Amino acid sequence: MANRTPLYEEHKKLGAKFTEFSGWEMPVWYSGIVEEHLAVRNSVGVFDVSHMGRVEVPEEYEEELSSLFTKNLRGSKPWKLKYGMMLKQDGSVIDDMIIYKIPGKFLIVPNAGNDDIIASWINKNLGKEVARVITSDLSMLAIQGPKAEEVMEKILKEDLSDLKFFRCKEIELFGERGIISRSGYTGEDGFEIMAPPRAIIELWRALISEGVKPCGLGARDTLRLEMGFPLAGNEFSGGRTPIEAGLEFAIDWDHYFIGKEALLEQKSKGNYERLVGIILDSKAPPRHGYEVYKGEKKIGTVSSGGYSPILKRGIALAYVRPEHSKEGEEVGIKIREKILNGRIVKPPFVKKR
Amino acid sequence: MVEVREDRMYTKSHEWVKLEGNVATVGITAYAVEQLGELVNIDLPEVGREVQRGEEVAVIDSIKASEAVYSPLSGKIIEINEALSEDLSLLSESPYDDGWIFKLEVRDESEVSDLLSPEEYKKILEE
Repeated sequence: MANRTPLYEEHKKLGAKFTEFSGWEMPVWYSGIVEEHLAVRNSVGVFDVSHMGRVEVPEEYEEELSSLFTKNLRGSKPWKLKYGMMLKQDGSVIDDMIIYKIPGKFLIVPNAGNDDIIASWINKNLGKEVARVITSDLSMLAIQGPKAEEVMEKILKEDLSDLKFFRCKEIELFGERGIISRSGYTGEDGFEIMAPPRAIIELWRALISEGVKPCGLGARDTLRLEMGFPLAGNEFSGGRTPIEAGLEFAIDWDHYFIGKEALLEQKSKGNYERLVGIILDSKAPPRHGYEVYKGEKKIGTVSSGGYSPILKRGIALAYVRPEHSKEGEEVGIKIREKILNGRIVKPPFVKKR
Repeated sequence: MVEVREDRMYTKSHEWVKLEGNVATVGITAYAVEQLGELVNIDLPEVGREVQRGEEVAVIDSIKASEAVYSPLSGKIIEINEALSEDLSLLSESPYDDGWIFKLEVRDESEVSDLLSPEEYKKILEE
């Protein structure tokens, strides 16, 4: 049976439609994917993201942990977040994640279902059990949208204006201690907050009472797709590297990390497929695995596709041959035996706020 | 139970058919619309196309999935509901009236007896 987060009953109360995602039974929508998507872009929405992994590593292993992560963690200052990946020796992505530095430890948030994989990878490479999975100790919400700060300040009775992007701080949440960060997966201003389940459930109820729209995985996907953010199961499947995925910004080349040599070799050879954005002339949503064409020639494959509620068009992320990866290039995506016209864009599809 | 109109016939694949002389108006049922969820796109057939019973004539994309619409009868497509290309809410909100999808000039009247009655369709929904 699939896992349920501590907020499962709350989702049922709100009439959520459920789906299974990475071993978790999660809400896919409550009122409707497009409605929830627009609420996040125009106002504020809340997501239960308790299914994400949470892994703790003591700070004394900073050096070793840094050698497993594409970002340099040496000399990490507390209350900062870093986005990066852990790679295999061949440069392929194991998972992408955010690593929080807080006093005494690193808190790693990998994708749902990958907590054990990441903890094992760390422990195997260090030769001892230093990584501890604490996924079920904490629940987590994402509050996203232009009105996120206003509603969170009201409920928490705390000034959040000085909490900068990709910073976190400790706060008191209904008698428990939690960590709040200015971060998210939607491209809007917003926060992610972790705390013991009891306090997160109280926060959820308070947010819903304040009129914040509950949003499910359906809107989570359409929102991140409009931003061009990768979804690990799609953009990294098949052994893709951060170079192919256009995620060099998530690499600090000034430190050693597993997979670094393979990436440098790939960069020097240059002949690799690149992740691009494609916007179609039509509304038809492309899907993972659909073929990308230049005339009659197949030049790539869709890794993520869907419908953009803001652009009212089908959009996709796709890996294409380098010679056809320029912005503005006219390409087609084969949908049901017909090649639909579109063009390559550099994500985000929708301006970040 | 979702609405099933008494004034028309049905198919197992959730299309409805309303016959006026030898012209059949075809759409999808309220049940089908509910199953699809949020509609984002429809690929309509071309007017003038000859189709066989059971042939795929249209596709409706929802956010998460795509569903085919099959012709309940053989004949020639004589009209399509172009308004749906602009506004799919006509389909989601009025599947039996404003949300009709295409009209067909029926070629073989004997196929009509193979369609489901409202009662027979309701039974399928109950299963």
